[in-house]
Amino acid sequence: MSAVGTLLVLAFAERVDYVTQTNPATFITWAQLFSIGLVLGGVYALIALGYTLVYGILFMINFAHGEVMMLGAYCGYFAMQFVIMDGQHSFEDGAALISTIILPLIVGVVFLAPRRAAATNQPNESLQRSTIRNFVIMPGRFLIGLLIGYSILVALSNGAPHMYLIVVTTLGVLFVVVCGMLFSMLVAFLLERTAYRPLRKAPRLVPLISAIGASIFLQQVALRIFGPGRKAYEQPQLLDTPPNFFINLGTLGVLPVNKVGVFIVILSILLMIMLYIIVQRTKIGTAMRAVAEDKDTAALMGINVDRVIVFTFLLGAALAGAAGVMLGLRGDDLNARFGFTPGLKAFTAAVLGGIGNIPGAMFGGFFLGIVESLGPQMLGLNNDWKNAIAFSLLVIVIIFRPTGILGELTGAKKV
Amino acid sequence: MQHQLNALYQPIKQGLATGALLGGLLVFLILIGIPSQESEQLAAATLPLFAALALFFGWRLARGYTQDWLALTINVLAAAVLTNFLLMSFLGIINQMHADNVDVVGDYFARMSTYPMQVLSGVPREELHPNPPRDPITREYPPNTELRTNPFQLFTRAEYAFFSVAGVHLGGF
Repeated sequence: MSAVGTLLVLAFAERVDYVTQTNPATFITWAQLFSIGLVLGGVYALIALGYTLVYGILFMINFAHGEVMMLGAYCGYFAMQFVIMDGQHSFEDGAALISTIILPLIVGVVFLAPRRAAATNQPNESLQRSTIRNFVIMPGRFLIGLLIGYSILVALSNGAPHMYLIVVTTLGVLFVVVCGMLFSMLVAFLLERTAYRPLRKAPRLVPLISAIGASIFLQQVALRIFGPGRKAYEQPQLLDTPPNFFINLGTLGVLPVNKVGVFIVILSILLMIMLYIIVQRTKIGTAMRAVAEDKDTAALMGINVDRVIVFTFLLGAALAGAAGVMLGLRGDDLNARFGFTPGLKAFTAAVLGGIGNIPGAMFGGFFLGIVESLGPQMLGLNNDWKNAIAFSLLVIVIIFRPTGILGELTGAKKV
Repeated sequence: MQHQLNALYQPIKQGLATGALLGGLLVFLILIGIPSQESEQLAAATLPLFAALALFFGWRLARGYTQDWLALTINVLAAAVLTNFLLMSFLGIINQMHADNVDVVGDYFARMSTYPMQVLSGVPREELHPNPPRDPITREYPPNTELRTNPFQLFTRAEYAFFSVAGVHLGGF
């Protein structure tokens, strides 16, 4: 088997050498392809995390995950239309209106936080004092936060219009992303309750069939509700007209960078960091790891296994919803089958990285995105071959390393 | 006191769950176009179908309460309030979109049945369409066109904003 692997690697190297000799591409071309791969990889990694989280807990592949992402993307589309309608056909105006609610709320909540932390340090606080705190000081702090948030917006709009545009556009896009995430979470919650929970004790093949059925059902429902026509996100003014800015690399050339791509990569990395913090540093994350290790023992330790499973589904769905909105922002058209190919690719990414392993899913997503983007150019093929390359890679990895690239970790640590 | 509150809380919680389920189901049916409005007879089945569903859910609730009539009443009230809230919010959003000249069926929900709106929200059937586009200069509707008279007003609107800065409207519902 290793001889076959060596031969494959040699053949691949020979082909790459031949292509780069006969049709050399500039450094900028490679860098551009790499950046496209990073963007795709960020999205694949987010979706792959949903597959891997559910597999880590239930040892089940949630084949409806792509459709959960598709419905999140649709909800994001409607949220964007709502913002645009609210702004009388301008996303920026609508985002400004929404920002006047969102930013003060965020600042208000931030103002509540230090008081909460201080309150936890006063276990012997008298009832009268805690009542005053709860009914007077806390709402007061919240109101001050609201006013400060609102003042920041007004000051920005008067003093720094460009910064104001950046702030309101970011908040508007985040509103769209959060709407997509929340709707995906709702769909995943219903899915878990209706399609998976009743089959918890069934043989492992049964929930798998249920997942495929749920996937087809959700696709058909989307087709019925939204129709066969394609829908596209409207780009906010700030993220529009690619390429948006350039990086001068001296003698190597000038690299055009797409703002949407930068936004997607940053947001996906932030979401992955948040996931890591939730899984590693919080109580529910500890419970998730315990359930992944041994459900029965975790239940004996007082962990509500059902609640942890629902939370895991919600976490995966939130990431998928964000990924769906990001794909929409990237310019992909929405339709009922929107989730199928990215879902399959993300599953491939999860298997490549080692399914059940969170860092593996992140690595697999970025790896697949970059291979898919660079592969056709490296092998001198048309870009239409990218799917064939991605799935061939899956087959090769499964043959030579069935546990995935980082799969060895799964034996000791599943989540 | 706490015991009494707990006794109230349980039926309310169960009623809200039932209400969410029934409200979600009715919205779902409207979205996928059931009952179909392709014929008058089928469209007329809207109210009986929805009433039958409500009765079924009510029957399911009542099964658990053979003696405790107060709890059952609270339960059913909670369910009814939430179902109506969800359904009316949905109908309000659609009506608001029509009022904003959005062709909801054409642009967004391809199969949506508009007939339940007439039955449930009281908007006349001839008004279940978007208003025509306004004149871009005068902002007036074209003369001699039938305009909607009874749209719900749910969302933030520029004319109700606290103030406007650099063409951007700030705040206000």
